[in-house]
Amino acid sequence: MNTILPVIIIAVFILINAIVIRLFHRKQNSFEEYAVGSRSFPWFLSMFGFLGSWYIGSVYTGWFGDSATIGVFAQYLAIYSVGTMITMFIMIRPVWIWGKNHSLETNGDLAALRYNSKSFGLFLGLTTFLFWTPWLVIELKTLGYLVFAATNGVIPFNLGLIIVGLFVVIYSWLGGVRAGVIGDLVQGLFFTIIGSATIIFLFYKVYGGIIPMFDNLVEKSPELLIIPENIGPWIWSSAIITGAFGGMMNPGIFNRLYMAKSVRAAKKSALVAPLIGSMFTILILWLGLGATLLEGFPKDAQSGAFWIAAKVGPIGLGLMGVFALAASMSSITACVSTSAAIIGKNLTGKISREKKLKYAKLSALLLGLISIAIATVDIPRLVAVIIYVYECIAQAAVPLILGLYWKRGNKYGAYVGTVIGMGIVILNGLFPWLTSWANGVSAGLIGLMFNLIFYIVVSLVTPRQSNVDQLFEELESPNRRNVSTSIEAGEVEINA
Amino acid sequence: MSRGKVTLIFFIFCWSVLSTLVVPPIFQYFNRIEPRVFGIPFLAYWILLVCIILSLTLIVWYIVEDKRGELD
Repeated sequence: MNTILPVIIIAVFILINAIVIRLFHRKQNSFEEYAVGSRSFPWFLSMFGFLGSWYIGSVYTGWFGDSATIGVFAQYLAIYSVGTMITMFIMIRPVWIWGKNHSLETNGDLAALRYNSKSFGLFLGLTTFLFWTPWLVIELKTLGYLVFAATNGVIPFNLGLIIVGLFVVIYSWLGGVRAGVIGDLVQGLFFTIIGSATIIFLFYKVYGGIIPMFDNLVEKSPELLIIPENIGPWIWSSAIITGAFGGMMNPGIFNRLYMAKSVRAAKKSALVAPLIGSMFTILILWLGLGATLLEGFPKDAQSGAFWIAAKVGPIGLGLMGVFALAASMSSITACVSTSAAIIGKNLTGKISREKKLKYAKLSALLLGLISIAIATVDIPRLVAVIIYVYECIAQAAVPLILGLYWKRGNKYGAYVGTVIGMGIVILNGLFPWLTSWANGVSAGLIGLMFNLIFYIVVSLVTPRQSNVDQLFEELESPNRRNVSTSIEAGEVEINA
Repeated sequence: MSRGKVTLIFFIFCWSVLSTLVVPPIFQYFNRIEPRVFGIPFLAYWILLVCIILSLTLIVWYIVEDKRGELD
């Protein structure tokens, strides 16, 4: 096979990204511009921002491999993505209005405002940041793997990781969230429109069509088409429920909510994203579903998507590499720019916004470079760490979602519930009895259950917070700012 | 009807649809290959349909909120 053609296709794709991002570059001279694009993005940019933040490169590697080997179970990804959108839809109005009125830029800001507690905001911002950054290393590793697989090994793993990783980190560092979202638009258009067409073409080329593939599966591997007893329905349910709430607690999603130019723009973006995202995810996972029936399917199932694409020649292989790279690059840029905003805004103490902007830019660069360095090292326990990540982040859902609708929820309930929820997830490995009684329900879901109970009970037995009524009044007349709460220079000032 | 009630009704409807995939006693009914619909095994078809129903519900939800003047 011509091994140079895939390399050229990937190089052209990266060049197109660089040109478009440069064309739409705007000087990053304020923290609000750097962190949330001055809250000016129309719905379609927000939509690709959401898609970019969620749909990760691992869909083409890990999930594709799971679809091939364990079957329909892997489709929990598509279901929880839609569940996440429903959760997001109910959060948009309060998050956006409070964000606009109080200059919120991170999830920690929202928690600090709602619970009138700088320390709780810091706790939530810091924990979600710490739990989220391992994803950055994973996605960078995926990047190296994708380039290696898509070029048939012409570009070595670490070289691909460093070249493409540096490209993404540099444009995130220089261009802030705006560059990230413009990149998301280019990448999203590639992996949804051209990607879907290519995958449908691959179905007909490799299986003779979607239905013939299912016919073959029903006859030869029917166990791949249901959730088998040995996995169990509770593991499947836990993965969907925890994912639906955990996906929304991904700190990058909050940034993308704030960057929309209005409630209407944010909600409109949430309409189209689940349809595009879930249909595309299902298509790629269906492609993997029948792959083990193909003669010569590789032992390393993660490389299956590239193996199938290579069947139509070097152009197919190069395009598959581009789709996967697009998904991976957009996740990395979301992680870098949001983490930089959290560090600059929530972790730097009481300094001016100009200095916060400097720290945010510096941390984007440093975080990116350090993550690239870590990703080049073999880390055997990384996957084990990742298992905890999503389930821990999901615990932020209880105080953040309920806090938007239930006035009685207070900082004591939020603290106790979140700490208990995260504690159950983290300590489950050391003390299996914490979850062993639950018949296969995941630690994340059990954590959410206890988190919810403690949040409600502790909030009810402790004093009501006085700032809440005024905050909720703002939602009734969004253009009027009724209260003098503000999150400036990283602290909450309440004069209710 | 208040905005809160409308939100609650849509939210409950969406999670009721999702419950067919996440509540094990209900899910058992959908965790099957037959009957195949348009040639697609039943569970794979149902997952696809749930994703479409929920996406369409969000569109209806948006239209309702727009007509009630709650998007500005």
